[in-house]
Amino acid sequence: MRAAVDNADPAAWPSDSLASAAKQQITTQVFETLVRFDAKGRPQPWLAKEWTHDAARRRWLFTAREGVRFHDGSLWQPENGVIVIPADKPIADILVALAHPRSAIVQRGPDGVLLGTGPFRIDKWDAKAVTLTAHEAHWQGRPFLDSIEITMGSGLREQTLALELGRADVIELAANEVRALRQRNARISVTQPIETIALILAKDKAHLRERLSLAIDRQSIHQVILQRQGEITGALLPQWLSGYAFLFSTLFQPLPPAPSASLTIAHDPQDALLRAIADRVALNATQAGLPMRAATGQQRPEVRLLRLRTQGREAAPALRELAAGLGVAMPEASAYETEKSLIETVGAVPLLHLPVAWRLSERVRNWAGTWRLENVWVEDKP
Amino acid sequence: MTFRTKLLVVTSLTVAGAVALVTGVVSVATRRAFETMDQQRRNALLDQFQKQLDAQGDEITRRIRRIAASDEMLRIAIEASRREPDLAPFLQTAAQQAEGQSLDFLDVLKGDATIVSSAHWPARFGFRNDWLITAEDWQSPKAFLTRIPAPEGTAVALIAVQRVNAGEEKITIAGGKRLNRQFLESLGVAPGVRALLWLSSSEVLDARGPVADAAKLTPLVEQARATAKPATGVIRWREARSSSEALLAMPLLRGDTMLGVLLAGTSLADQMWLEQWILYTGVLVGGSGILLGVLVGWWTTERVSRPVAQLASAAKSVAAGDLSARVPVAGKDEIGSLGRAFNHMTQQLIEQRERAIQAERVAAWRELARRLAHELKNPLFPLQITVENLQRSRTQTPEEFDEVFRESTGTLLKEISNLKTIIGRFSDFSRMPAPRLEPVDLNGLVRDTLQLFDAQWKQPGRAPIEAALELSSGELQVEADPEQLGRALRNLVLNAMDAMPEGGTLTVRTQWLNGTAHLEVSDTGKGMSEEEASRLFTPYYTTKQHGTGLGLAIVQSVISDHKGRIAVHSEPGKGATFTIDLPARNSA
Repeated sequence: MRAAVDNADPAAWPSDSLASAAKQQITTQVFETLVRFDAKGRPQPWLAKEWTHDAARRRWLFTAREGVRFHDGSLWQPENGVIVIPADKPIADILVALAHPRSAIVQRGPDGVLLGTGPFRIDKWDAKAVTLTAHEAHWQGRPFLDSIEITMGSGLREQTLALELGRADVIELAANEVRALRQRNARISVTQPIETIALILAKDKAHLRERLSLAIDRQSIHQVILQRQGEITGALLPQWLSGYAFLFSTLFQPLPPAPSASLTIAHDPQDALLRAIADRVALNATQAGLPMRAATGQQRPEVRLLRLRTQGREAAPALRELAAGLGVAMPEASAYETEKSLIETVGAVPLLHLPVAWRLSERVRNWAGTWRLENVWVEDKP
Repeated sequence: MTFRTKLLVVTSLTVAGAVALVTGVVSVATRRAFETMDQQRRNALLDQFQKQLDAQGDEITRRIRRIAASDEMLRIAIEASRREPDLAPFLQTAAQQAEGQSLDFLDVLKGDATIVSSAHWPARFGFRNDWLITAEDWQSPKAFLTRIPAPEGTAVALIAVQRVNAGEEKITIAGGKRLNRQFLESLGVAPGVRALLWLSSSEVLDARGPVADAAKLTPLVEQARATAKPATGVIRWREARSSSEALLAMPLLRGDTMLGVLLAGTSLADQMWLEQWILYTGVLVGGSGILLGVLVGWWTTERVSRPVAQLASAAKSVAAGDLSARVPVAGKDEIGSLGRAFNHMTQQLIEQRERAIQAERVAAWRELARRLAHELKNPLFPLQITVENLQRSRTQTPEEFDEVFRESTGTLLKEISNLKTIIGRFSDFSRMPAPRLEPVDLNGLVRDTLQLFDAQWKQPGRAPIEAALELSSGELQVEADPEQLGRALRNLVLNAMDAMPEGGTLTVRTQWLNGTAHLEVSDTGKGMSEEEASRLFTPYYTTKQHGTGLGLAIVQSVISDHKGRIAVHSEPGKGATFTIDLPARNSA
């Protein structure tokens, strides 16, 4: 199978937290964790076939699955077949932490390369492409696919071209293209809204957060720029994850213009969707008396437009993960209060929740809606 | 300054002046020719700009029509006609169409002027178009210039507008191309000419990109803006004069709004270079001309002025009394004629002088003869009478004869004595000895001389003469022969006494004057005319009935022998004053 993605550099595997969807999902093909979450956010045994803990939830004991081998064929053999994690205080989110790629079970090979236990191993990689080959001794049995060629550094336009020309079977898809492609009956895989698009104000501009939030016409961005994909939000976590996202205001009610210094906004220059959203945000802000323009060069922007993503399937650990990614530590509190405080602390203006979308070629079979490639196979036709 | 130097200066100045005049005239003519040519080139550029604007406007209109006729625009129009239109899928349509038609700006607008899709500012969907301002803009069949807001600021663009009808709803397509560097490049200007576009104080460009130091254009642009008419000016971009550029600024107007200014510039580097070259050439030619003029003038004036200088030198000699001076004569030109005339003149002067001397000699001899005859005739007559009386007395008694003889011999002796005196005077005049100089106090000499006449002036029965002495204080030492100087002074006193038969005042003054001993002898007599005064020192000339005419001649001879000067000042009825200046003793 051939895939084309924008960024999947394995040099940083598996430690990235707010990484691209592609990198995150491809990582799971090579490295496995003790625990995994299913599509509904429930923890599932993986390399640990079961776990127990004491009453205080301070000592956790994971039983290792037998027959698990690293990619060099060596057997994974934890001492006594168990992994014990003791702590001085209760560990609340241990399962979430263990499910994160950075908690993957790895072994450093003789040449210093990290070896995983996943259904595919890294065969070769350079700056432009990664080739994964089937792990013959995978504990679940050999995957159907012999190899996966992942081309990196391709923009969305090149990816689409590669798929149309039959050079790729899976490509990334911008959320605003989903609607048009669906109308053309293209094969598309869309996740739940797992990405948050939010503005983060600099500390000295945090007092403008409320004013800026009221100035932005989220509805127009959602309907026109995103072509009705994703959800409008005023919260960092999506409604399906937290259950309280609707409590955060998405009101579009620009306040009367007041004298304000000019603001600059920055985003990933390679991300066309973010650029379109940033332009509209700048326009809305300027109209509301907050002159805003794109930051240039080395200029330190007062406003950043970011895509935020969390692995967590529960609100509290997801918020902690976001807080850590944004460089702040949050006190223990209810999820709602924590999120409210986090938004105030980092000066965040959440705008939208977006799904991650993939476009598939006609050859791909048994796609499970996400990158679980061990059961995927492709038809042998051009 | 010599004649030759003057000639040289005049020659050099003439050459330099002529070169300067020619240089100036050529420079002015060149500048005017350049200015005319530059004006023509700038006007041609403006014409080219207008033509290019029209041509591009037609092309933009065609492209907008093509977009309006596309299926995509028809779909937008149909969707816009629905009761609840969903125009979101068309967000990128303007960008795609603009890219397909190579347009910089494109807005697709609903009937209420809200933006469905914008190529140059996609984020403005849902906003009202704010650059199609007037009804004329919406209806204009031709492309026009206008100012369009864009994310990076406003831009001036050539715009065309088209409408697409679908049912009751109409959509409008408005788009065009930016007036930018590429547009200026497309003008294809002549070498040495460039087009500049002033869009704002921070956006001034030419065919190569942004213009540095554009602030220098501000006064010209402001002038064009204020008058709404073309303005001209010269901008010097750098220190060097060759960086100057003549500019014609034409305001680009949309109604009363100035969208920008098109500037047609022509570099003055060639003109400056040519003017500089002409100037340098003029200086070089002028310098060479002056040098050549000096050399040629030196040679020419040498030939011209040498005879003149010789003539001047000879004239000086003639003036000094050397009538033998001659000038060499060469050539038949005016200088040669002048030389010949000069030589002829001096020859004539010599001949005239000889004739004059001869005539004077004859006149002198005649005068001498007349004088002698006159002087001698007076005593001879009594002698003749006396002798005749003696002859007649032989017939008288011896006593009477003795009486007559005694009286007659007495008379004869007296008259013979007179004859001796007369002959002695003539003899004295002819034998005036050279003065024997010695220190003499002029004041003392004056006093001694006047004392001799004191008794005579006071003699009863004679009209009184009063002497007034105004002598300088102290002694007035001169080198003089006291005998001769005393005689001269006595003659002047006697002359004054003769001039005052009715009496009067004789005034004698002495003083140092300009380094000389100055002596004045004034009388209050009847005076004399100017003509008489001029002849007064001529020997044998006298205004007196019985004078010999030698007294004042002797005075002049003595003063001349003492290297002094004598003059007389007189007017009829106002007496006469004789002035004598003698060199001081130490300077004698």
